[in-house]
Amino acid sequence: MPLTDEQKAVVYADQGMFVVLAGPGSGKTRTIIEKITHLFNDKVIPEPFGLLAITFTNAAANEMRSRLRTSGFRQWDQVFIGTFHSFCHYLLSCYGSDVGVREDFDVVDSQTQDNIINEILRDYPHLSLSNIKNTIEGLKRQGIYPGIKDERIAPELRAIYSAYQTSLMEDNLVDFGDLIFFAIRLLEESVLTKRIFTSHFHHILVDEFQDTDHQQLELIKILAERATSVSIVADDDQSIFGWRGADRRNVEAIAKHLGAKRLQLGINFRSDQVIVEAAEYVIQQDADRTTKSITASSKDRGHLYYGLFADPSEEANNVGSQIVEIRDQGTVDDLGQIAIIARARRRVEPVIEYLDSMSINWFDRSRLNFIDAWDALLAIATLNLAIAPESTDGLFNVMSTIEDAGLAYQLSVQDALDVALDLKSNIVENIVEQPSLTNIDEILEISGFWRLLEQVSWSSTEQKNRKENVTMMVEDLIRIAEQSNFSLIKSLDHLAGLGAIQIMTGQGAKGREFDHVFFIGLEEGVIPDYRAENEDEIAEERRIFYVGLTRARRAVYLSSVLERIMPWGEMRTQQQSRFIFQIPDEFIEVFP
Amino acid sequence: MKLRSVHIRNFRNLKDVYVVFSGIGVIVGENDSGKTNFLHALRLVLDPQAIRLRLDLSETDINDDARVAGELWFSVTMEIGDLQRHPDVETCFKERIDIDENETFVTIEGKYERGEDGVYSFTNVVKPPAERHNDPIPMKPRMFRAIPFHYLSALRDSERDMRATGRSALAQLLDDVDFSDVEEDVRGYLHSANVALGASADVNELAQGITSHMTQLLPGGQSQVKLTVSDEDSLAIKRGIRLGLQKFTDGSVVDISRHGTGIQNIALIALFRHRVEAGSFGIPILAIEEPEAHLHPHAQRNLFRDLAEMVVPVIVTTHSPEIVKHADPLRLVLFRTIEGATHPFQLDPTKISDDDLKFLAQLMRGGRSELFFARALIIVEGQSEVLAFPEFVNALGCDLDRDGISVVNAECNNFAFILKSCSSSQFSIPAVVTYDTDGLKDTNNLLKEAYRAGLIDRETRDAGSNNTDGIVTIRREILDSVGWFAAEDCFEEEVCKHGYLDVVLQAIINNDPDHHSDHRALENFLRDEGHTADHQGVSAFIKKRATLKVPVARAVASAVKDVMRVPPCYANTIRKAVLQSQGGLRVDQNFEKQACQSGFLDVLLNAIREQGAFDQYKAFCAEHEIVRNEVGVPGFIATETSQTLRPITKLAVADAVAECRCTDYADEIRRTDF
Repeated sequence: MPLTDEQKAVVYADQGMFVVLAGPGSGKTRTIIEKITHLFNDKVIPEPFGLLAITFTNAAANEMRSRLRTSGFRQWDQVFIGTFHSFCHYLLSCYGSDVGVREDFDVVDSQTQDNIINEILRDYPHLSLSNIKNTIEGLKRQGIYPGIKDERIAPELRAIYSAYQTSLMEDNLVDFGDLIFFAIRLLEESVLTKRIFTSHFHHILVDEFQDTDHQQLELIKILAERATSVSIVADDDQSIFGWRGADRRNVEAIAKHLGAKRLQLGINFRSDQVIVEAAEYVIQQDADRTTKSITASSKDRGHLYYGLFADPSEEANNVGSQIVEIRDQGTVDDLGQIAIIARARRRVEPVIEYLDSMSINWFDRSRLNFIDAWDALLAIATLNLAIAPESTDGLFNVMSTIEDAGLAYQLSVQDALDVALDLKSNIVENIVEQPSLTNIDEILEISGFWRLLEQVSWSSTEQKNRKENVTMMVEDLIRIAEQSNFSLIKSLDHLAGLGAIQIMTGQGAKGREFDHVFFIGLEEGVIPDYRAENEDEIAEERRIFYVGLTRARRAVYLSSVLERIMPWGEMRTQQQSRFIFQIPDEFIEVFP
Repeated sequence: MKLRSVHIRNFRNLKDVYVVFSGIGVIVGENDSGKTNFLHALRLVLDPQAIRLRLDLSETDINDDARVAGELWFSVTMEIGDLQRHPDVETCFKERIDIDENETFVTIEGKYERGEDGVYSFTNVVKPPAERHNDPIPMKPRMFRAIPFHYLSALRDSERDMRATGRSALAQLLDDVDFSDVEEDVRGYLHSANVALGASADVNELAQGITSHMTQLLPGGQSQVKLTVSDEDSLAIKRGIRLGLQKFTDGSVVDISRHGTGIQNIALIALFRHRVEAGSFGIPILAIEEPEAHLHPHAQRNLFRDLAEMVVPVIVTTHSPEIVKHADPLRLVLFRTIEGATHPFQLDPTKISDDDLKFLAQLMRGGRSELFFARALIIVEGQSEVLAFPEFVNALGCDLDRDGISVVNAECNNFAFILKSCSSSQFSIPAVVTYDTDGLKDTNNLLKEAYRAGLIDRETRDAGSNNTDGIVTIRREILDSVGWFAAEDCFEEEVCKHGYLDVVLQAIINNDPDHHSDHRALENFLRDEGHTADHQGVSAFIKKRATLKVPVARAVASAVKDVMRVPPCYANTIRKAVLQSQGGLRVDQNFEKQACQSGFLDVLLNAIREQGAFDQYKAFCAEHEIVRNEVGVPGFIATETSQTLRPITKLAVADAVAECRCTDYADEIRRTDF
């Protein structure tokens, strides 16, 4: 499909500063891919300079790489595609010493972080771990550190905070907040680092800018100083991370700071008409938003169903049987095209029970321990290849993963196929036993997977983290197999979420799309959350609802219940979520 | 951009070679001193074509001593600096930039090493900057492209490089050339040319003929052979590009391959210079072996000046005195082999004064650059010695070229500086001085030189300052003490005293064969001054008639091979130079042979005589049909029957070694048993 005029405008906006307001389903990722391709193919960015593309999740970065690869992109060594954290990690692992962070630092894991804080809190028994953890995180997001802008911190907190920082430093550790904070300091204080990186990145592209916090805004401001062009992609309607310091006003702030020109991607290519229109009615309730129009490109009307059920179990039965119905109609290629969104994880349990009883596979990404990064994906692909070494698909998957991660380039090998063939020949020549759950480690060893991981890691820290991540993936794999009595191959499929109903929270749904979306548990106190008090917080809840709605291509199934048992055991009458009433009645069909 | 330094360890004969560069690097040294290995090592790390070179590596490329010591690796480390001026290069190494004052640089290391699996491999990495705690990162293709390494070997194929095929120099340069603006036109013309060619009756017949004979061999379908001027695709067009040279005298264009090798070399180097100035991505490093090849001295000078002015790192290795002559002394790197290992010598700018530097440059431009090629120097007083010494050396059984010894004419007694700079730690070239004692009578110049060379202190110099009675003896003792050899009291007297009197007299007669004016003058002189025609009288006469010096020296030189005698002071000078160039004599199975080659044949012969074994020796030679003593003597002494002789002759050699003021070497010989 050719680019639309508004998409073209974004692709060819290659000189100067731009803020691109992109509605849901507006072909944003595709437009970004086209833009990157244009920047390099038309030599807008001269060799050997580069582009920095910041995404919000590793999954988004992986997807961007994967789609670039499919489009035939080759200049991998000229792009950095990653999250704020991975980029800051990269900067600090190059020149961290200049701001007191040894380049071989580790990122503290959650368990160690808890231990450190607990140790400190022995002297402060009246304080809770999670409270302190959140407080420190919050302070870091504002750039407040012991000795830096800390005048307003209470003395007690200051003592705890500085003990925590000292303890991290002693063990050569940083936490996620530190990554950003020290990277900013590095760019501010090290003339060399700033010069090298600001002169390298001629173009900067940041996606989901509405989700940035104060520090991330500062970082982009510095990096943008010498850039020929900056593209800020944002949708303030999808800003749903306020609870972790995201500030949708940052979009306005960076636009003003850069003197950026505004571009819009308003045509929704994803959802059928009724969904787009309903979503627009909902989001227009938000007084504070940047006005932009969203129109559906689809010629189909689509469906928006609503069901009000007696209780969660009736809700689950209806949702479940509707899923069975969809499956049996054969209108979706794959059950992965169906999603269940619930604001509260608890509400999905009855649905899961139903699905299990019908032997329908489901997949919940949030239940995985490991990070969805290329290392784990490559391990999965390698194991799949070991199961069927002669399968072309298997080899192709390994190769794609290698290319997506840009590994061939790091190994100074021309072609990802070479690396993939290498793994394959190791497997074919050396693996005698049929791969099974008991010899996973052995397969990863013999195939040369671990060695590959070592070779491509920038630092021993990275190497260690990647190994840990893969180890966690293997643990998950074994856990799944044991729970469901699956074979290795089935567990792998399950782990990759293949052919399974996708289950997620409101936030977890972001950036994804499905043919059918079930959004359950739409009651007051669930969405909006009972803790949302002021207009801003209600507005964020509304945006979560909006994001959920706009995930669907063909049909949305909304549901609420009349009463349910509260966590403390009491049966309570429920009110329908106020957001339901913001959808005009004529759009709503009765839950089938 | 610049190449700051190169450190090579354990590679072939480069055991531990650290060279600092500033501007063009001019590497000089004898053959086999490691110059080519040095460039080869750089290629292994930087040359995009080095994959093949790396595949050819084996354990034997690791230095022998290192292997014996269990070091199964070699490494090549280089610092590439001044990157702050080249953002395009700097950015390629952005993760590992180091900084020194305001200069940014990277350290690249290539290492050939045995892995745990016993397999050797070569890896290229960018090393972490000093004081940083990160790991090296592998060199990536773009890093290589940022600092393309261009190597022109001494055996370069200029003709190949002038064609745009393969990885030739021209092809590499054309890679960056965009001719899409005219591509369609060129294609059109080529097509027309092909059509025009096809219209030729003969060409057509040939094509048809080939086709008819091929058809039966080709399976299926109809095939047609075509003869064309060139393919019409863009790659073929690029490959077809030739470098031609147009001379304005006749206006005709001639393919460069028709020109002499010299012109081709100049064109080749011009190509690279253009590549540098064209300013596309990356800064090349040029390494040129013997840029002087096939060029006359004038062209060599011009070429070198151009190379030296290039703003990119350039390293040349050279044998050309012309190039060395015009190089900045600070840019010279001298490779010398000491006990089988290459040692680089270069001036340390922090340790040499500006005046000395200027003088050194003058000296080199004055043609003394051969100093830098020598393993030892013999500094002599004047032209006569320069003429006669090579023959004396031969008469002693030594070989100036083999031992890398240069004979330097000190002329205006200005050799203190040569002495000082050569023997300084920066070059450590041993120098042996021989002087005439007649110069001691009236002046203290020689002591002044010795003082300026740093051999004696001020007091010692001043002890010889007054022309009092017995001052000659005092001065002479001082010069003896610094190891200089005195000729008694000049070259002519010395040679006349040691067998060349007749030769010298004949030379005087021959100088004016028609009128015998010189001869008559000699007779008059002898009579008037009350001299006889002996060594003193004759040399006193020649001193008066300076025009006779050169003819006499020539006559002596040509008579040496018949007279076969070398005045002892010169013999000792030569022996000392040979010993120093070799680092002494090793006591082993080849001891006698080495001694003969170092000028001690007569010492050995005398020792045989003194032991009353001369007849035995003659019989030995007759039995083995040996004619030459330098073969017979070592053979005889090493035989079973004369084993008692061996320690005695060894001691005789040791004494003679001591005689030529190499007491350390002499002690070493005495101490060591076979």
